[in-house]
Amino acid sequence: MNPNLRRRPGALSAPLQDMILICALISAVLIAGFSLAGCEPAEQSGAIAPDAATALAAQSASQNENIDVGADEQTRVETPAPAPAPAVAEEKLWAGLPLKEMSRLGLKDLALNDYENEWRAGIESGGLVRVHTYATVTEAKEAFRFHAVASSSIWSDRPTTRALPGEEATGDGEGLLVLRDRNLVIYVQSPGGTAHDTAGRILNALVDTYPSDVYQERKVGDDIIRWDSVGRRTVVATP
Amino acid sequence: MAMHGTFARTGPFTRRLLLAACLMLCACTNKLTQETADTGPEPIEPNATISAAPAFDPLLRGSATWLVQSQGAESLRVDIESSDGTIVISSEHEIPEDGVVSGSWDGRDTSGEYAGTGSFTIVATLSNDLGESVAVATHALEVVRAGFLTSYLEDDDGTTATRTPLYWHEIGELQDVTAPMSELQSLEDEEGNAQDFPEITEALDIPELGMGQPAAFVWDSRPILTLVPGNTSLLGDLNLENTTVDLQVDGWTVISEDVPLDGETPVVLQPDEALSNGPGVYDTKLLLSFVVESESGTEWEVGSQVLPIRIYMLYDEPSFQENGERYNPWVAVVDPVLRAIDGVDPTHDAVTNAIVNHVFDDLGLRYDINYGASYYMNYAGSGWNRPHFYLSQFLKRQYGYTVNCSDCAVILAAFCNMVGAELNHLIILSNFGLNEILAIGQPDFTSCPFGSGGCGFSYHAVTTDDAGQTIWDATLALDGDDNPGASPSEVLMVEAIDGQEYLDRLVRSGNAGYYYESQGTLQ
Repeated sequence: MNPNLRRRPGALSAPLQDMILICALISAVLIAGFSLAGCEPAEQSGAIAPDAATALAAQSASQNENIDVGADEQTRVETPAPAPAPAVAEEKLWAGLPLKEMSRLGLKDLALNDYENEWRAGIESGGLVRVHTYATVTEAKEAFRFHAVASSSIWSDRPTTRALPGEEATGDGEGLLVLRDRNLVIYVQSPGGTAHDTAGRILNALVDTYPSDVYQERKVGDDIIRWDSVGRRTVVATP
Repeated sequence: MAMHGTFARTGPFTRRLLLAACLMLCACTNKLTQETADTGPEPIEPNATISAAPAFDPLLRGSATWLVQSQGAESLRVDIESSDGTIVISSEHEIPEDGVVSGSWDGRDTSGEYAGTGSFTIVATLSNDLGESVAVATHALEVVRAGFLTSYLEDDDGTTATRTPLYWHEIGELQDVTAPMSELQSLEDEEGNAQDFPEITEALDIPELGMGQPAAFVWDSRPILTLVPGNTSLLGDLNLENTTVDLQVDGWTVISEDVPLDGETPVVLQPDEALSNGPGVYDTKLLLSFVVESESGTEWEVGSQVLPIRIYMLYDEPSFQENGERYNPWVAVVDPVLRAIDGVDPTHDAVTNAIVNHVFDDLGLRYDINYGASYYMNYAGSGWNRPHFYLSQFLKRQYGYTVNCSDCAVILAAFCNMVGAELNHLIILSNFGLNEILAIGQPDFTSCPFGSGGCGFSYHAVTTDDAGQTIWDATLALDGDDNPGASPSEVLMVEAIDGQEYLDRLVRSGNAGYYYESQGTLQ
């Protein structure tokens, strides 16, 4: 399990948190065991290996515990736009970050992803932020495991030296940080070493109310894509 | 004496020959002397001939040159007369010994105003030393106005030319290939000067108003150029009905119906051969020459107009799998890329190899040796098979020049696919130690690009067009010697390298394999 897992202060009571941690540990052991038991080591090969999950599972076991981004991702379709109301009644979801807060948070040059629920912005002091919004916490957890691997191509055993924000997080918190909180995955790259602070500011500015306004609308291919003011993307018209 | 002595030393046959020649020469000289004595010097009948073009365009050519060759006169007066006999302008000349006088007319009258278009006559009047008119010569001169207002570059669906619309990324707009390449509002500018077509825009992100637009064709195309003539002029009627003005462009042939320029009918041309031998940028200024032919068959240039052209000669049509306007060649990409690879052989591998060099050497990129993190792309959703490239941001280097392997792979793939050399993103998984590599923008080979404790890749992104059988990689150069795991190292650019050899040279330890071939998306 990622040693950097942290909860947002006051989010859950301590006993409940402990229960969740125990459950998570059991799940992790089961998943890791399943992954390792069912996988052959990937052969070094000059062509695409038949089962891409194999190598990723090996990677999960060796470096990023519980990260298992398997071949099923190959057939994944685009993440649907989040529904106005949470998919599971009791699941708390973030709506997103009010985009009007960007400059107050030290962010600039907003770029809205035309193809998925993701936006990115530059950090005034250097670096960039990506915020991925998922329909459910489960999806976000799965995505976090992937982004934790894909965020960096370093294979090393460098220890993380500080506490990280978010419900799950990885990275050194200085130059690089990937975290998940509820249904959001936030990625911060900060050459100036302030990833932790930037992520904290973003987390504190998140809202869970769903606006009905339109921030931007444009044509992408044959689709009409709309973003609302908290950076959520919706396909509003497809021929 | 010397001649006689020589004669004496010749043989009998030669002596007889010389004697006969001498007798003939004497007879001829005698006849000439008798004729001269009979008639005296023949008086020269005053006469003149005028050499000049049958037509000219005063705004395009500046002036019409005339040349009068005369005999038997002392002075010359040259008048330019309009069709109603009015003298527009005159000049007086002393006739030199050789009888040749030349001059020019700029189409203006004595007050300096243009006399307009129409039929004029050059009248050369010879006078004797008493000032009496002794001979007159005339030459018809048409003053015309010729020029084009609109130019189009088109294809014929691949028969001889294949055009691809260019994409202006800053405004998200695809070029309309049926729209003019360049156009003028009128044949003359506000000062009354004849206009050449505007220069091609140097902007790469958004088309500039009033400038010419570049076009993109597959390299072996013979683009079809259509020119629409202007039909009004500051000088009045174009006066093209009285003379036959044809268009000539060096290296191009008029393929439209053989109709002389009439101010209405478009002229269609096509180059005689492909404009280049492979991918690159065809940047030229076509000289549109307006030509008339005199009765004697001599061709005269009425004037000329300049048409700047810039054609991006692609390797092939774009090879993106995604559909949409943005999956066409971006001006901001193909302009520098095609200039960088200009002259490369028109083969997939040669083009792709050259673009690897361009990305590795020319863009100032450097590998992120701190985190190996990407700045200009991310994998959409949560899968390796959906790389998404923020190309607009990359073109601005919005987050600087630091990149990782995923960035380099999407950059290389996007560049190649835009010029028509198909290339796909490919992932190598996972967690493997490295042999010696030279990362992009780094000074030295190393097996630990991230310093001690960072001697391997958790993953690596490359490109392929055949499921990993062949690899291109602009992120790093391999150690190409017999021992890729140790110094010294020999730079081996990853250009069409066998997939297995690539892994053998890259991977020191661990298992590595190719996964997730895809093209992804961009914006």
